[in-house]
Amino acid sequence: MKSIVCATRGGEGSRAAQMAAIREARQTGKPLIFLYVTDTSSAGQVDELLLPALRAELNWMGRTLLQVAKQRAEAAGLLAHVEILEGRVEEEIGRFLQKADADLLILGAPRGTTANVFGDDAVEIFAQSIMADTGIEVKVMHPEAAAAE
Amino acid sequence: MLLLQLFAQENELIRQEIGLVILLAIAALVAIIIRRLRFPYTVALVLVGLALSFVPNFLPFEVSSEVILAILVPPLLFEATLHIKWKNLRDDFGIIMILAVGGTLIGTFIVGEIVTWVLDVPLIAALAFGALISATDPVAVISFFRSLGVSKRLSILVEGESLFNDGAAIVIFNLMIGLAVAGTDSFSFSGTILEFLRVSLGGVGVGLIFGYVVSYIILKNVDDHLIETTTTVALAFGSYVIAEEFHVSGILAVVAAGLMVGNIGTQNTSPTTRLTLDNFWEFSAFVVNSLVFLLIGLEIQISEMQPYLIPIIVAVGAVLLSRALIIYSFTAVHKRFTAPARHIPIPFRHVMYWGGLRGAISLALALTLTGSVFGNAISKELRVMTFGVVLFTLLVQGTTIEKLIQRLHLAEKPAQRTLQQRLQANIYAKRAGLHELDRLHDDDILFPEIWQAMSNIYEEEIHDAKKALGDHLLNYPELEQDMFLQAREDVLKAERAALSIAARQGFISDELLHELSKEADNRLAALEIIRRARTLNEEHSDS
Repeated sequence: MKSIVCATRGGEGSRAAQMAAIREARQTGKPLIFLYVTDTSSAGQVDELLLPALRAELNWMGRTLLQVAKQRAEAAGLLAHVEILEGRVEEEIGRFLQKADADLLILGAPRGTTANVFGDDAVEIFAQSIMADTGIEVKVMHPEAAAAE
Repeated sequence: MLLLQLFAQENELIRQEIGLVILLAIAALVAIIIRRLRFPYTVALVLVGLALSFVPNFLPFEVSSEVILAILVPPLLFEATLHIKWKNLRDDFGIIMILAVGGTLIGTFIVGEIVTWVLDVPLIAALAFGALISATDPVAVISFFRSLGVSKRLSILVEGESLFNDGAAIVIFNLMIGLAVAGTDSFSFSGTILEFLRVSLGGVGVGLIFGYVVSYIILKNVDDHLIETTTTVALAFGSYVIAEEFHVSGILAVVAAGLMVGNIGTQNTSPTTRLTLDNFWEFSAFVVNSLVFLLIGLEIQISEMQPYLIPIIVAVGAVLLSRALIIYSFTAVHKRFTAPARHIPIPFRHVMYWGGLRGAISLALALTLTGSVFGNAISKELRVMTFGVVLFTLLVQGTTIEKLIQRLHLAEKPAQRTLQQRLQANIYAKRAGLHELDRLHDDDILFPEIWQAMSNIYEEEIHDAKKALGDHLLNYPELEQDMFLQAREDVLKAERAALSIAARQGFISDELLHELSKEADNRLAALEIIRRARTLNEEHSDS
């Protein structure tokens, strides 16, 4: 069965994305996977000696965020899977979508502007490139959606 | 001033008292007005003082350097040191001392050489100016740090350097005055270094001894908040006076005594005493700061500055150049010899550079420059140059530092984060209240029905506070990550502290402690990088 993937990094739109993914999984009965990518390049230029500690801390943060997402799914009566990867966010997400045989990717975006961790690109541009490359549908959720629930 | 004229026939003491009352009333008025504006209080006081300086004979008393150094400076330094925790200071103590002592020495020579070269001021007089203008006064900057929620480490770096460079500047200044009086023939390099060490270490020694007595004997054994607070007042002024009597640094004595009481003394007291001490010293620092900055404005005569415009411009340029050289070169060298976790980030360096304001100490030392040492003309020129530099740093640097902090993304406390902390603090405080209530109940001190009623109210309030926090997080989901980062920092610090305990108890060797502590430090540094990257991305980021 096709799966739903929700990529999270704990920002402004994370909760909205997670709640939308949970809702979608409940409605369709598809397996839900929360994904976090440990990407040290997102912290900018970092001293080589600090990279192992940075990687470890980003990983720690990812594990926590995924646990939170999993608890939210459980609270909604859903058993979600979690996956933590390491590498560049855009590459790892694209690769994982194929591996997980996903047909929907849900991302969070902040209020207003969407230029973000993917460099100078906007979340929407990233979403469009994923759709163009893989044919997989991508939904972008904003925090207003979660607050309105 | 009309009011003062009315009392002109009163005796001197009453006239001075009235003058003080008027200054305090003005300070309070400025504080009330400034609360509504985003403008530094201390800078506003200087501006008001400048305006009042046009009123003839406004001050009914002479502002001498003794008044500033012996009466106004000790409480300011003591209050500042009370809040500096050794565990925070220790990690950056090396660079702080290098900046405070080495920086002051090099700054003295850079500024002195430029002033001599450009303005043709005799070298010893120029070096005395270089020393007095090297003392930084970050009061205006620190107030911004607090309101903007700037990192604790940056506050410690700026405040720590200032506390110790005050002492170093005074010692070097006095050495230069001594040299001017005795003549340069009597100069001996080794003798000067030895004298510098004697005065500095002697001051620290006096402060530590009296700080020890107050912390271990009085604060530990006397359980009366009023007596204990009074003792700290005696310590702040007494350590200064006694050190000066022994011809060692009074300023460093106050700093050492304050650090001792803030780190050890307050551990030995009751919560009531700690609260009284905090409130008393906060109030004292507010009053004294208000007076100091009003007096700075009142002492500076704008009309006197006009003929000295070129020397003032040269002095400001020299001070900015020497500060830049000191901060950027010292921190770059420091980076070469320390672990990455202890590097001083580039944005911190910019704030340390631009936040190097000058204030009370420079002014007090300039007021001691009289004709008897360097001659009337030179002394006046140096005094006016000092006023010019102090005014420039306060009015230009003091009013732009906030923008710099924001541009560098060092401000961590927007309104929603402040509200989040307020809500968390509310829950924390109410939980503590509930625990105390349970303790009173368990000890059979509280009548059961009253305990039950009060407990119910507390539970309701905690429930409401938790709901308010939940609603707030729903509106600002990005705060969840803040919560995570704060909690992660707390647990990493707890892990680090546990390692020290394990080493003390002999579970692990010192070598292993060193290695594991370094790992923990790197983890904390990594967390800071994540936090900073997140702040930078915040306006744009997500997923």
